[in-house]
Amino acid sequence: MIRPSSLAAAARPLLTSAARATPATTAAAAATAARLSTTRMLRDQHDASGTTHFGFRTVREEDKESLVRGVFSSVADNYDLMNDAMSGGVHRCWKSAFIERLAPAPDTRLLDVAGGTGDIALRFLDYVREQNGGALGAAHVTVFDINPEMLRVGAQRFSKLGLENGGPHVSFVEGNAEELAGIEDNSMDAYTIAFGIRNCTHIDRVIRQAYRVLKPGGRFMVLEFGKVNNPLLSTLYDAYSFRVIPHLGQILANDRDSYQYLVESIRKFPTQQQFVDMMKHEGFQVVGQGYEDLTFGVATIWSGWKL
Amino acid sequence: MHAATTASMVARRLAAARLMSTMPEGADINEIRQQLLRTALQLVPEYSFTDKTITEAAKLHEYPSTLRGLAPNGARDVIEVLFEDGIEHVRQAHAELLEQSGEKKPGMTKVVTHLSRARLEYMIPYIRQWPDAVQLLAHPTNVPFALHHLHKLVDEMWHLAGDKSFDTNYYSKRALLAGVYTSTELFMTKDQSPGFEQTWEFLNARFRDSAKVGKAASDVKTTLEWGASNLKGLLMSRGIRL
Repeated sequence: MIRPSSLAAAARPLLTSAARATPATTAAAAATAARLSTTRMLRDQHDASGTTHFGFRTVREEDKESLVRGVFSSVADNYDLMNDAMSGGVHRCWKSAFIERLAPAPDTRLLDVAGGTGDIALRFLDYVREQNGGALGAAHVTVFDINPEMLRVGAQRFSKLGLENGGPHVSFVEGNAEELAGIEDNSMDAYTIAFGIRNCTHIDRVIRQAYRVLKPGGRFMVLEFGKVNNPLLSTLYDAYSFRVIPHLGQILANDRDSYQYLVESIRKFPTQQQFVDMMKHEGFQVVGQGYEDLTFGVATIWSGWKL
Repeated sequence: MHAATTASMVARRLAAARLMSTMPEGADINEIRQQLLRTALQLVPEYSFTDKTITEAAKLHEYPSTLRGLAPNGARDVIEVLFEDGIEHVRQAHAELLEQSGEKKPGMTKVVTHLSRARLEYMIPYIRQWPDAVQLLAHPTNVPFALHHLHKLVDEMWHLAGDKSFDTNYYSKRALLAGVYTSTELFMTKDQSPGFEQTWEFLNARFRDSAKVGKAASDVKTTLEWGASNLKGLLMSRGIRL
Protein backbone atom coordinates (compact mmCIF):
# COMPACT_ATOMS: atom_id res chain seq x y z
CA MET A 1 0.00 0.00 0.00
CA ILE A 2 1.40 3.34 -1.01
CA ARG A 3 0.72 6.09 1.45
CA PRO A 4 -0.57 9.31 -0.12
CA SER A 5 1.98 11.37 1.82
CA SER A 6 4.94 9.51 0.34
CA LEU A 7 3.46 9.96 -3.08
CA ALA A 8 3.04 13.64 -2.42
CA ALA A 9 6.74 13.83 -1.80
CA ALA A 10 7.59 11.83 -4.88
CA ALA A 11 5.72 13.46 -7.68
CA ARG A 12 4.72 16.88 -8.80
CA PRO A 13 1.14 17.21 -9.94
CA LEU A 14 0.26 17.52 -13.57
CA LEU A 15 -2.26 20.09 -12.53
CA THR A 16 -0.23 22.97 -11.21
CA SER A 17 -1.73 26.17 -10.03
CA ALA A 18 -2.54 28.83 -12.54
CA ALA A 19 -1.42 32.37 -12.91
CA ARG A 20 -3.60 34.89 -11.19
CA ALA A 21 -5.98 36.44 -13.66
CA THR A 22 -5.72 40.17 -13.42
CA PRO A 23 -9.06 41.91 -13.53
CA ALA A 24 -9.14 43.08 -17.10
CA THR A 25 -11.21 45.94 -18.26
CA THR A 26 -13.03 45.45 -21.52
CA ALA A 27 -10.79 48.05 -23.16
CA ALA A 28 -7.60 46.35 -22.05
CA ALA A 29 -8.87 43.01 -23.22
CA ALA A 30 -9.86 44.51 -26.55
CA ALA A 31 -6.40 46.05 -26.92
CA THR A 32 -4.81 42.73 -26.09
CA ALA A 33 -6.99 40.95 -28.58
CA ALA A 34 -6.33 43.51 -31.30
CA ARG A 35 -2.56 43.38 -30.84
CA LEU A 36 -2.50 39.64 -30.94
CA SER A 37 -5.03 39.01 -33.61
CA THR A 38 -2.26 37.97 -35.98
CA THR A 39 -2.51 34.34 -35.11
CA ARG A 40 -5.57 32.19 -34.94
CA MET A 41 -4.42 30.75 -31.67
CA LEU A 42 -4.45 34.09 -29.97
CA ARG A 43 -7.94 34.82 -31.17
CA ASP A 44 -8.85 31.49 -29.69
CA GLN A 45 -7.42 32.31 -26.29
CA HIS A 46 -9.21 35.59 -25.73
CA ASP A 47 -11.76 37.65 -27.49
CA ALA A 48 -12.76 41.28 -27.25
CA SER A 49 -15.55 40.63 -24.78
CA GLY A 50 -13.06 39.71 -22.02
CA THR A 51 -13.79 36.02 -21.89
CA THR A 52 -11.47 33.05 -21.92
CA HIS A 53 -11.92 29.31 -21.81
CA PHE A 54 -12.14 27.03 -18.83
CA GLY A 55 -11.94 23.62 -20.38
CA PHE A 56 -14.62 23.72 -23.09
CA ARG A 57 -16.65 26.33 -21.25
CA THR A 58 -16.33 30.04 -21.97
CA VAL A 59 -15.94 32.07 -18.81
CA ARG A 60 -15.11 35.66 -17.92
CA GLU A 61 -11.35 36.24 -17.66
CA GLU A 62 -11.51 37.27 -14.04
CA ASP A 63 -13.31 34.07 -13.14
CA LYS A 64 -10.77 31.65 -14.55
CA GLU A 65 -8.33 31.95 -11.68
CA SER A 66 -10.87 31.05 -9.02
CA LEU A 67 -12.23 28.24 -11.16
CA VAL A 68 -8.74 26.80 -11.62
CA ARG A 69 -8.12 27.25 -7.92
CA GLY A 70 -11.31 25.29 -7.29
CA VAL A 71 -9.97 22.46 -9.42
CA PHE A 72 -6.75 22.44 -7.46
CA SER A 73 -8.23 22.46 -4.02
CA SER A 74 -10.65 19.72 -4.93
CA VAL A 75 -8.01 17.36 -6.36
CA ALA A 76 -5.04 18.38 -4.20
CA ASP A 77 -4.87 15.35 -1.94
CA ASN A 78 -5.04 12.90 -4.81
CA TYR A 79 -2.86 14.69 -7.37
CA ASP A 80 0.04 12.34 -7.31
CA LEU A 81 -1.95 9.16 -7.19
CA MET A 82 -3.96 10.43 -10.15
CA ASN A 83 -0.93 11.54 -12.12
CA ASP A 84 0.58 8.12 -11.86
CA ALA A 85 -2.71 6.37 -12.50
CA MET A 86 -3.54 8.42 -15.58
CA SER A 87 -0.13 8.46 -17.23
CA GLY A 88 1.06 5.05 -16.07
CA GLY A 89 3.98 6.82 -14.41
CA VAL A 90 5.20 8.17 -17.73
CA HIS A 91 5.02 11.77 -16.48
CA ARG A 92 8.17 11.00 -14.47
CA CYS A 93 10.02 10.11 -17.67
CA TRP A 94 8.80 13.28 -19.35
CA LYS A 95 10.10 15.41 -16.50
CA SER A 96 13.46 13.67 -16.51
CA ALA A 97 13.75 14.11 -20.28
CA PHE A 98 12.87 17.77 -19.80
CA ILE A 99 15.81 18.37 -17.44
CA GLU A 100 18.16 16.31 -19.62
CA ARG A 101 17.34 18.59 -22.56
CA LEU A 102 18.08 21.61 -20.40
CA ALA A 103 21.41 20.02 -19.33
CA PRO A 104 22.06 22.54 -16.53
CA ALA A 105 25.60 23.28 -15.33
CA PRO A 106 26.90 24.00 -11.81
CA ASP A 107 26.60 27.74 -12.50
CA THR A 108 23.01 27.66 -13.77
CA ARG A 109 20.38 29.92 -12.19
CA LEU A 110 16.97 28.47 -12.93
CA LEU A 111 13.52 29.94 -12.49
CA ASP A 112 10.94 27.15 -12.28
CA VAL A 113 7.49 28.67 -12.62
CA ALA A 114 4.39 26.85 -11.41
CA GLY A 115 7.01 24.72 -9.72
CA GLY A 116 4.89 24.17 -6.58
CA THR A 117 6.10 21.05 -4.87
CA GLY A 118 9.57 21.27 -6.38
CA ASP A 119 9.52 18.25 -8.64
CA ILE A 120 11.38 19.95 -11.50
CA ALA A 121 13.64 21.82 -9.06
CA LEU A 122 14.68 18.56 -7.44
CA ARG A 123 15.45 16.95 -10.79
CA PHE A 124 17.45 20.04 -11.71
CA LEU A 125 19.63 19.83 -8.59
CA ASP A 126 19.99 16.05 -8.97
CA TYR A 127 21.17 16.47 -12.54
CA VAL A 128 23.78 19.08 -11.58
CA ARG A 129 25.01 16.93 -8.69
CA GLU A 130 25.32 13.88 -10.91
CA GLN A 131 27.21 15.73 -13.66
CA ASN A 132 29.44 17.61 -11.24
CA GLY A 133 30.84 14.78 -9.14
CA GLY A 134 28.32 15.14 -6.30
CA ALA A 135 28.69 18.90 -5.79
CA LEU A 136 26.03 21.50 -6.45
CA GLY A 137 28.48 24.30 -7.18
CA ALA A 138 26.64 27.59 -7.56
CA ALA A 139 23.50 25.99 -9.01
CA HIS A 140 20.38 27.77 -7.83
CA VAL A 141 16.68 27.31 -8.47
CA THR A 142 13.87 29.73 -7.69
CA VAL A 143 10.60 27.85 -7.34
CA PHE A 144 7.82 30.24 -8.26
CA ASP A 145 4.16 29.45 -7.76
CA ILE A 146 0.89 31.24 -7.18
CA ASN A 147 -0.32 28.69 -4.65
CA PRO A 148 1.21 29.04 -1.14
CA GLU A 149 0.05 25.56 -0.14
CA MET A 150 2.09 23.96 -2.89
CA LEU A 151 5.14 26.07 -2.03
CA ARG A 152 4.88 25.01 1.59
CA VAL A 153 4.86 21.34 0.59
CA GLY A 154 7.87 21.98 -1.67
CA ALA A 155 9.83 23.84 1.00
CA GLN A 156 9.21 21.05 3.50
CA ARG A 157 10.31 18.45 1.01
CA PHE A 158 13.55 20.34 0.30
CA SER A 159 14.15 20.99 3.97
CA LYS A 160 14.10 17.23 4.62
CA LEU A 161 16.89 16.91 2.04
CA GLY A 162 18.95 19.58 3.80
CA LEU A 163 18.18 22.30 1.27
CA GLU A 164 16.78 25.28 3.14
CA ASN A 165 14.47 27.82 1.58
CA GLY A 166 16.56 30.94 1.00
CA GLY A 167 19.79 28.92 1.24
CA PRO A 168 22.49 28.82 -1.43
CA HIS A 169 20.61 26.50 -3.80
CA VAL A 170 16.87 27.08 -3.54
CA SER A 171 14.29 29.72 -2.76
CA PHE A 172 10.51 29.55 -2.89
CA VAL A 173 8.66 32.61 -4.13
CA GLU A 174 4.92 33.16 -4.30
CA GLY A 175 3.60 35.16 -7.22
CA ASN A 176 1.85 35.39 -10.55
CA ALA A 177 3.53 34.00 -13.68
CA GLU A 178 2.01 36.85 -15.70
CA GLU A 179 3.93 39.40 -13.61
CA LEU A 180 6.94 37.65 -12.06
CA ALA A 181 7.11 40.42 -9.46
CA GLY A 182 10.42 40.47 -7.60
CA ILE A 183 12.35 38.69 -10.36
CA GLU A 184 14.91 41.04 -11.89
CA ASP A 185 15.29 41.66 -15.63
CA ASN A 186 18.07 39.63 -17.29
CA SER A 187 18.73 37.62 -14.14
CA MET A 188 18.06 33.98 -15.07
CA ASP A 189 19.99 31.45 -17.19
CA ALA A 190 16.95 29.30 -17.73
CA TYR A 191 13.18 29.39 -17.25
CA THR A 192 11.11 26.22 -16.99
CA ILE A 193 7.39 25.69 -16.64
CA ALA A 194 6.05 22.14 -16.56
CA PHE A 195 2.35 21.37 -16.88
CA GLY A 196 1.54 24.85 -15.64
CA ILE A 197 1.23 27.25 -18.55
CA ARG A 198 -1.99 25.60 -19.73
CA ASN A 199 -3.75 26.88 -16.65
CA CYS A 200 -2.64 30.49 -17.05
CA THR A 201 -5.20 33.01 -18.27
CA HIS A 202 -2.86 34.98 -20.57
CA ILE A 203 -0.24 32.69 -22.05
CA ASP A 204 1.28 35.55 -24.05
CA ARG A 205 1.93 37.55 -20.87
CA VAL A 206 3.62 34.56 -19.28
CA ILE A 207 5.95 34.22 -22.27
CA ARG A 208 6.68 37.96 -22.28
CA GLN A 209 7.67 37.85 -18.61
CA ALA A 210 9.90 34.86 -19.26
CA TYR A 211 11.67 36.87 -21.94
CA ARG A 212 12.09 39.79 -19.55
CA VAL A 213 13.79 37.85 -16.74
CA LEU A 214 16.10 35.72 -18.91
CA LYS A 215 19.69 36.79 -19.59
CA PRO A 216 20.78 37.09 -23.21
CA GLY A 217 21.57 33.51 -24.18
CA GLY A 218 19.04 32.26 -21.62
CA ARG A 219 16.76 29.36 -22.42
CA PHE A 220 12.97 29.17 -22.14
CA MET A 221 11.58 25.66 -21.79
CA VAL A 222 8.00 24.49 -21.56
CA LEU A 223 6.75 20.99 -20.81
CA GLU A 224 3.06 20.67 -21.55
CA PHE A 225 0.50 18.35 -23.08
CA GLY A 226 0.69 18.57 -26.85
CA LYS A 227 -1.43 17.24 -29.67
CA VAL A 228 -1.19 13.66 -30.89
CA ASN A 229 -0.74 13.82 -34.66
CA ASN A 230 -1.03 10.19 -35.64
CA PRO A 231 -4.75 9.77 -36.51
CA LEU A 232 -5.05 6.24 -35.15
CA LEU A 233 -3.28 7.02 -31.90
CA SER A 234 -5.16 10.26 -31.58
CA THR A 235 -8.48 8.39 -31.73
CA LEU A 236 -7.29 6.09 -28.96
CA TYR A 237 -5.95 9.01 -26.97
CA ASP A 238 -9.25 10.90 -27.26
CA ALA A 239 -11.20 7.84 -26.20
CA TYR A 240 -8.90 7.39 -23.23
CA SER A 241 -9.06 11.07 -22.30
CA PHE A 242 -12.81 11.53 -22.48
CA ARG A 243 -14.05 8.11 -21.52
CA VAL A 244 -11.47 6.79 -19.07
CA ILE A 245 -9.89 9.74 -17.27
CA PRO A 246 -13.13 11.34 -15.93
CA HIS A 247 -14.17 7.92 -14.64
CA LEU A 248 -10.77 7.45 -13.03
CA GLY A 249 -11.29 10.85 -11.41
CA GLN A 250 -14.67 9.72 -10.17
CA ILE A 251 -13.38 6.45 -8.75
CA LEU A 252 -10.01 7.48 -7.35
CA ALA A 253 -10.65 11.06 -6.31
CA ASN A 254 -14.44 11.18 -6.21
CA ASP A 255 -14.28 14.27 -8.43
CA ARG A 256 -15.34 13.87 -12.01
CA ASP A 257 -15.57 17.54 -12.95
CA SER A 258 -11.98 18.42 -12.14
CA TYR A 259 -10.63 15.70 -14.36
CA GLN A 260 -13.09 16.62 -17.05
CA TYR A 261 -11.49 20.10 -16.85
CA LEU A 262 -8.02 18.57 -17.15
CA VAL A 263 -8.73 16.75 -20.41
CA GLU A 264 -10.67 19.67 -21.86
CA SER A 265 -7.96 22.21 -21.02
CA ILE A 266 -5.44 19.98 -22.83
CA ARG A 267 -7.58 20.15 -25.99
CA LYS A 268 -7.86 23.93 -25.74
CA PHE A 269 -4.10 24.45 -25.44
CA PRO A 270 -2.38 25.65 -28.66
CA THR A 271 -0.91 23.13 -31.06
CA GLN A 272 2.84 22.58 -31.12
CA GLN A 273 3.30 24.99 -34.03
CA GLN A 274 0.93 27.62 -32.65
CA PHE A 275 2.87 27.72 -29.41
CA VAL A 276 6.16 28.10 -31.32
CA ASP A 277 4.59 31.07 -33.13
CA MET A 278 3.60 32.60 -29.80
CA MET A 279 7.18 32.20 -28.52
CA LYS A 280 8.59 33.83 -31.63
CA HIS A 281 6.04 36.61 -31.34
CA GLU A 282 7.50 37.52 -27.94
CA GLY A 283 11.07 37.51 -29.28
CA PHE A 284 12.36 33.99 -28.65
CA GLN A 285 14.41 32.25 -31.31
CA VAL A 286 14.21 28.51 -31.88
CA VAL A 287 16.45 25.84 -33.37
CA GLY A 288 14.78 23.71 -36.04
CA GLN A 289 11.04 23.34 -35.47
CA GLY A 290 11.33 24.53 -31.87
CA TYR A 291 9.64 21.61 -30.12
CA GLU A 292 10.07 17.94 -29.46
CA ASP A 293 7.20 15.49 -29.02
CA LEU A 294 7.35 12.91 -26.25
CA THR A 295 5.19 9.77 -26.41
CA PHE A 296 3.71 10.68 -29.84
CA GLY A 297 2.95 14.23 -28.78
CA VAL A 298 0.93 13.44 -25.66
CA ALA A 299 3.52 15.68 -24.01
CA THR A 300 5.73 18.19 -25.80
CA ILE A 301 8.89 20.10 -24.90
CA TRP A 302 9.15 23.58 -26.40
CA SER A 303 12.46 25.38 -26.28
CA GLY A 304 13.43 28.93 -27.20
CA TRP A 305 16.41 31.23 -26.71
CA LYS A 306 16.63 34.88 -25.87
CA LEU A 307 19.52 36.14 -27.98
CA MET B 1 54.82 23.10 -19.26
CA HIS B 2 53.44 25.97 -17.22
CA ALA B 3 54.71 28.57 -19.66
CA ALA B 4 53.22 26.63 -22.56
CA THR B 5 49.85 26.44 -20.81
CA THR B 6 49.84 30.16 -20.16
CA ALA B 7 50.78 30.86 -23.75
CA SER B 8 47.96 28.66 -25.00
CA MET B 9 45.53 30.37 -22.65
CA VAL B 10 46.53 33.77 -23.92
CA ALA B 11 46.18 32.63 -27.51
CA ARG B 12 42.79 31.18 -26.70
CA ARG B 13 41.48 34.35 -25.07
CA LEU B 14 42.71 36.41 -27.99
CA ALA B 15 41.06 34.11 -30.46
CA ALA B 16 37.85 34.20 -28.46
CA ALA B 17 37.94 37.98 -28.25
CA ARG B 18 38.30 38.11 -32.00
CA LEU B 19 35.33 35.80 -32.41
CA MET B 20 33.31 37.76 -29.89
CA SER B 21 33.64 40.92 -31.90
CA THR B 22 32.01 39.09 -34.77
CA MET B 23 29.03 37.98 -32.70
CA PRO B 24 26.50 40.78 -33.01
CA GLU B 25 23.72 41.36 -30.54
CA GLY B 26 20.33 40.04 -31.58
CA ALA B 27 22.02 37.86 -34.17
CA ASP B 28 20.36 34.94 -35.85
CA ILE B 29 20.32 31.83 -33.72
CA ASN B 30 22.00 29.70 -36.39
CA GLU B 31 24.90 32.15 -36.71
CA ILE B 32 25.38 32.12 -32.96
CA ARG B 33 25.29 28.34 -32.97
CA GLN B 34 28.02 28.20 -35.63
CA GLN B 35 30.15 30.70 -33.72
CA LEU B 36 29.68 28.78 -30.49
CA LEU B 37 30.77 25.53 -32.12
CA ARG B 38 33.79 27.15 -33.83
CA THR B 39 34.94 28.60 -30.52
CA ALA B 40 34.39 25.19 -28.93
CA LEU B 41 36.58 23.64 -31.63
CA GLN B 42 39.36 26.08 -30.72
CA LEU B 43 39.09 24.97 -27.11
CA VAL B 44 39.42 21.27 -27.99
CA PRO B 45 43.18 21.19 -27.18
CA GLU B 46 42.24 22.20 -23.64
CA TYR B 47 38.99 20.32 -22.97
CA SER B 48 39.04 17.66 -25.72
CA PHE B 49 35.85 16.55 -27.46
CA THR B 50 33.53 16.86 -24.48
CA ASP B 51 30.38 18.77 -23.54
CA LYS B 52 32.54 20.93 -21.29
CA THR B 53 34.23 22.36 -24.38
CA ILE B 54 30.90 23.79 -25.49
CA THR B 55 30.01 25.09 -22.03
CA GLU B 56 33.39 26.85 -21.81
CA ALA B 57 32.90 28.31 -25.28
CA ALA B 58 29.53 29.72 -24.17
CA LYS B 59 31.22 31.31 -21.15
CA LEU B 60 33.92 32.88 -23.30
CA HIS B 61 31.18 34.56 -25.30
CA GLU B 62 29.72 35.75 -21.99
CA TYR B 63 26.61 33.65 -22.42
CA PRO B 64 25.13 31.35 -19.77
CA SER B 65 26.39 27.79 -19.99
CA THR B 66 22.85 26.65 -20.81
CA LEU B 67 23.60 27.95 -24.32
CA ARG B 68 25.17 24.50 -24.68
CA GLY B 69 21.64 23.37 -25.53
CA LEU B 70 22.22 24.86 -29.00
CA ALA B 71 24.35 21.76 -29.58
CA PRO B 72 21.91 19.00 -28.65
CA ASN B 73 24.35 16.30 -29.78
CA GLY B 74 27.11 17.65 -27.55
CA ALA B 75 30.68 17.11 -28.73
CA ARG B 76 29.38 15.43 -31.89
CA ASP B 77 28.19 18.82 -33.09
CA VAL B 78 31.73 20.16 -32.59
CA ILE B 79 33.08 17.24 -34.62
CA GLU B 80 30.58 18.05 -37.34
CA VAL B 81 31.98 21.59 -37.63
CA LEU B 82 35.47 20.10 -37.80
CA PHE B 83 34.35 17.82 -40.64
CA GLU B 84 32.62 20.62 -42.53
CA ASP B 85 35.56 23.01 -42.19
CA GLY B 86 37.80 20.09 -43.18
CA ILE B 87 36.04 19.83 -46.55
CA GLU B 88 36.55 23.58 -47.03
CA HIS B 89 40.23 23.13 -46.17
CA VAL B 90 40.60 20.36 -48.76
CA ARG B 91 39.02 22.58 -51.42
CA GLN B 92 41.44 25.39 -50.62
CA ALA B 93 44.41 23.00 -50.70
CA HIS B 94 43.23 21.87 -54.13
CA ALA B 95 42.97 25.44 -55.41
CA GLU B 96 46.50 26.17 -54.16
CA LEU B 97 47.84 23.01 -55.76
CA LEU B 98 46.37 24.00 -59.12
CA GLU B 99 47.90 27.46 -58.79
CA GLN B 100 51.35 26.02 -58.05
CA SER B 101 51.18 23.50 -60.86
CA GLY B 102 50.48 26.22 -63.43
CA GLU B 103 49.93 24.92 -66.94
CA LYS B 104 50.70 21.30 -66.17
CA LYS B 105 47.66 19.58 -64.66
CA PRO B 106 48.62 17.23 -61.78
CA GLY B 107 47.68 13.58 -62.10
CA MET B 108 44.85 12.02 -60.19
CA THR B 109 47.07 10.08 -57.78
CA LYS B 110 49.14 13.16 -57.06
CA VAL B 111 46.05 15.22 -56.26
CA VAL B 112 44.58 12.59 -53.98
CA THR B 113 47.87 12.14 -52.12
CA HIS B 114 48.29 15.88 -51.74
CA LEU B 115 44.75 16.40 -50.49
CA SER B 116 44.98 13.52 -48.02
CA ARG B 117 48.11 15.06 -46.54
CA ALA B 118 46.49 18.50 -46.43
CA ARG B 119 43.47 17.09 -44.60
CA LEU B 120 45.74 15.32 -42.10
CA GLU B 121 47.74 18.51 -41.52
CA TYR B 122 44.46 20.23 -40.80
CA MET B 123 44.04 17.74 -37.92
CA ILE B 124 47.33 18.68 -36.19
CA PRO B 125 45.82 21.01 -33.53
CA TYR B 126 43.30 18.36 -32.47
CA ILE B 127 45.22 15.16 -33.15
CA ARG B 128 46.12 14.42 -29.50
CA GLN B 129 42.44 14.64 -28.53
CA TRP B 130 41.23 12.80 -31.64
CA PRO B 131 41.07 9.35 -29.94
CA ASP B 132 38.29 10.79 -27.72
CA ALA B 133 36.39 11.75 -30.85
CA VAL B 134 36.94 8.33 -32.41
CA GLN B 135 35.56 6.73 -29.28
CA LEU B 136 32.51 8.97 -29.48
CA LEU B 137 32.00 8.25 -33.17
CA ALA B 138 32.24 4.52 -32.49
CA HIS B 139 29.05 4.64 -30.45
CA PRO B 140 26.40 2.71 -32.43
CA THR B 141 24.12 5.74 -32.72
CA ASN B 142 26.98 7.79 -34.21
CA VAL B 143 28.31 5.29 -36.75
CA PRO B 144 26.00 6.40 -39.60
CA PHE B 145 27.05 9.99 -38.92
CA ALA B 146 30.76 9.07 -38.97
CA LEU B 147 30.52 7.03 -42.16
CA HIS B 148 28.45 9.73 -43.85
CA HIS B 149 31.12 12.34 -43.23
CA LEU B 150 33.96 9.99 -44.16
CA HIS B 151 32.21 9.27 -47.44
CA LYS B 152 31.69 13.00 -48.03
CA LEU B 153 35.41 13.60 -47.52
CA VAL B 154 36.73 10.90 -49.83
CA ASP B 155 34.06 11.68 -52.40
CA GLU B 156 35.16 15.32 -52.40
CA MET B 157 38.81 14.32 -52.83
CA TRP B 158 38.08 12.04 -55.79
CA HIS B 159 35.79 14.64 -57.27
CA LEU B 160 38.49 17.33 -57.03
CA ALA B 161 41.01 14.91 -58.52
CA GLY B 162 38.72 14.71 -61.55
CA ASP B 163 37.35 11.23 -61.07
CA LYS B 164 34.25 10.67 -63.15
CA SER B 165 33.81 6.94 -62.75
CA PHE B 166 30.35 5.66 -62.17
CA ASP B 167 30.99 1.93 -62.45
CA THR B 168 32.02 -0.42 -59.65
CA ASN B 169 35.34 1.46 -59.49
CA TYR B 170 33.37 4.28 -57.92
CA TYR B 171 32.96 2.20 -54.78
CA SER B 172 36.37 0.56 -54.71
CA LYS B 173 38.13 3.89 -55.16
CA ARG B 174 36.24 5.45 -52.31
CA ALA B 175 36.68 2.44 -50.08
CA LEU B 176 40.43 2.38 -50.80
CA LEU B 177 40.91 6.05 -50.04
CA ALA B 178 38.72 5.84 -46.92
CA GLY B 179 40.90 2.97 -45.69
CA VAL B 180 44.14 4.81 -46.40
CA TYR B 181 42.93 8.03 -44.85
CA THR B 182 41.47 6.62 -41.62
CA SER B 183 44.34 4.25 -40.93
CA THR B 184 46.84 7.09 -41.40
CA GLU B 185 44.79 9.39 -39.19
CA LEU B 186 44.78 6.76 -36.47
CA PHE B 187 48.54 6.26 -36.87
CA MET B 188 48.98 10.01 -36.58
CA THR B 189 47.31 10.20 -33.15
CA LYS B 190 50.23 8.19 -31.73
CA ASP B 191 53.00 9.71 -33.88
CA GLN B 192 55.60 11.57 -31.79
CA SER B 193 58.12 12.13 -34.60
CA PRO B 194 59.06 15.77 -35.34
CA GLY B 195 56.79 17.28 -37.96
CA PHE B 196 54.82 14.02 -38.10
CA GLU B 197 57.46 12.62 -40.50
CA GLN B 198 56.49 9.04 -39.76
CA THR B 199 52.87 9.81 -40.55
CA TRP B 200 53.76 11.07 -44.02
CA GLU B 201 55.89 7.96 -44.59
CA PHE B 202 53.01 5.81 -43.46
CA LEU B 203 50.64 7.66 -45.78
CA ASN B 204 52.93 7.21 -48.80
CA ALA B 205 53.35 3.52 -48.02
CA ARG B 206 49.58 3.07 -47.93
CA PHE B 207 49.22 4.79 -51.29
CA ARG B 208 51.96 2.56 -52.76
CA ASP B 209 50.00 -0.46 -51.54
CA SER B 210 46.87 0.72 -53.21
CA ALA B 211 48.71 1.53 -56.43
CA LYS B 212 49.76 -2.12 -56.60
CA VAL B 213 46.16 -3.07 -56.17
CA GLY B 214 45.21 -0.64 -58.90
CA LYS B 215 47.63 -2.37 -61.33
CA ALA B 216 46.00 -5.69 -60.58
CA ALA B 217 42.59 -4.19 -61.05
CA SER B 218 41.79 -6.71 -63.75
CA ASP B 219 42.18 -9.37 -61.13
CA VAL B 220 38.76 -8.96 -59.58
CA LYS B 221 39.46 -11.38 -56.78
CA THR B 222 42.50 -9.46 -55.54
CA THR B 223 40.68 -6.17 -55.64
CA LEU B 224 37.75 -7.55 -53.71
CA GLU B 225 39.97 -9.17 -51.12
CA TRP B 226 41.99 -6.05 -50.65
CA GLY B 227 38.88 -3.93 -50.46
CA ALA B 228 37.32 -6.24 -47.91
CA SER B 229 40.38 -6.26 -45.67
CA ASN B 230 40.64 -2.52 -45.98
CA LEU B 231 36.99 -2.06 -45.11
CA LYS B 232 37.45 -4.32 -42.14
CA GLY B 233 40.40 -2.24 -40.96
CA LEU B 234 38.39 0.88 -41.50
CA LEU B 235 35.46 -0.35 -39.43
CA MET B 236 37.78 -1.53 -36.69
CA SER B 237 39.49 1.84 -36.61
CA ARG B 238 36.03 3.28 -36.03
CA GLY B 239 35.68 0.98 -33.03
CA ILE B 240 33.55 -1.72 -34.60
CA ARG B 241 34.64 -5.18 -33.53
CA LEU B 242 34.56 -7.85 -36.24
